[in-house]
Amino acid sequence: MDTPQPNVSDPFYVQGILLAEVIKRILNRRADIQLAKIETELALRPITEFMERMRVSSIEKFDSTTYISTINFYKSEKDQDGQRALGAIVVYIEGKYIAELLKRMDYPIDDPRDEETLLDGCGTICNLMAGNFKSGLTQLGYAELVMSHFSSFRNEVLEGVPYDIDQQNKYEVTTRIDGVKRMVADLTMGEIPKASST
Amino acid sequence: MKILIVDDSRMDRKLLMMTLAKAGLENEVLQAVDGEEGLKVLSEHYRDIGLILLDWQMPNLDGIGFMQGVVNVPEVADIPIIMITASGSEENKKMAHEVNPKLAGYVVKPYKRDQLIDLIKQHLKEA
Repeated sequence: MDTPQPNVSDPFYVQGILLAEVIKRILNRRADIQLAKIETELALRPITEFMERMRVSSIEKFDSTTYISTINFYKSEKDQDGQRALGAIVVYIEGKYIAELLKRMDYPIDDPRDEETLLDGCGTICNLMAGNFKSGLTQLGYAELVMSHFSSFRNEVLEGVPYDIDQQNKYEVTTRIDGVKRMVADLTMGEIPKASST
Repeated sequence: MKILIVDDSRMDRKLLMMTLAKAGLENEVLQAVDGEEGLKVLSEHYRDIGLILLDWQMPNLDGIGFMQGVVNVPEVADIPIIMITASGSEENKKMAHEVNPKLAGYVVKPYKRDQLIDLIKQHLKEA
């Protein structure tokens, strides 16, 4: 399959850039990591669909244990009730780094090996990113979206993640901290109405 | 009086408790993992609760649903609520204030701890 190419005039590309900026800002502000030490790389990737859900696995992201959290976006509460997702953010964090990242973000970690703590921590970070991304969308003139709570997993999401099945591609934001790949975020999004049209 | 924290993130609940403790606020903290549990805890302890710290996106019943359950019940309607959420858009803030005109504060994550503590001290009810 040909690798899809980003289209810089596509609103979806701007949304990908926004997510990358949100990730940088949160890592800088909450984890006190210098902006110069955070690199983000944006790439367009094809969505692998199965039973009208997006397949989510850490295999292509990291070669070791990975914590994954997902959050969906909807045009309205009615769409949320009907489970008609417009978009999704999927955050993958390297298992051997997540406890350190949470500590750098000042979250209290009693046991850095506790699975529940790491799953919850991954979801907490995903929520922070998705919420700030959603606010950023409204500043770009988009209508307010409804956002789900987070769900967290280890290595893969067996049931897949709901998304707008008309979309074929997702943006992958790879984040390197101090030159090491630590986090990846996938973004898929259907057409978001402009604020004035709602 | 007690402080009720309603948030599905255990990490965020612990961070809030640590923030309260570091600021010298020794009030007992009650916790709930979603709006449904929050309403249950509130109905059992409302006489002792002097402030609610409330997340928005939660499973089962979200923060807006929780407030809708609270605002029309005279026994609990005056308990100050500070919403703490990652969604900081003006429209979300407006919606929260429309649902609860007495909303004591709307704080966006990631928040500045001293600002949150100032807000908490300003609104926390004394026994």
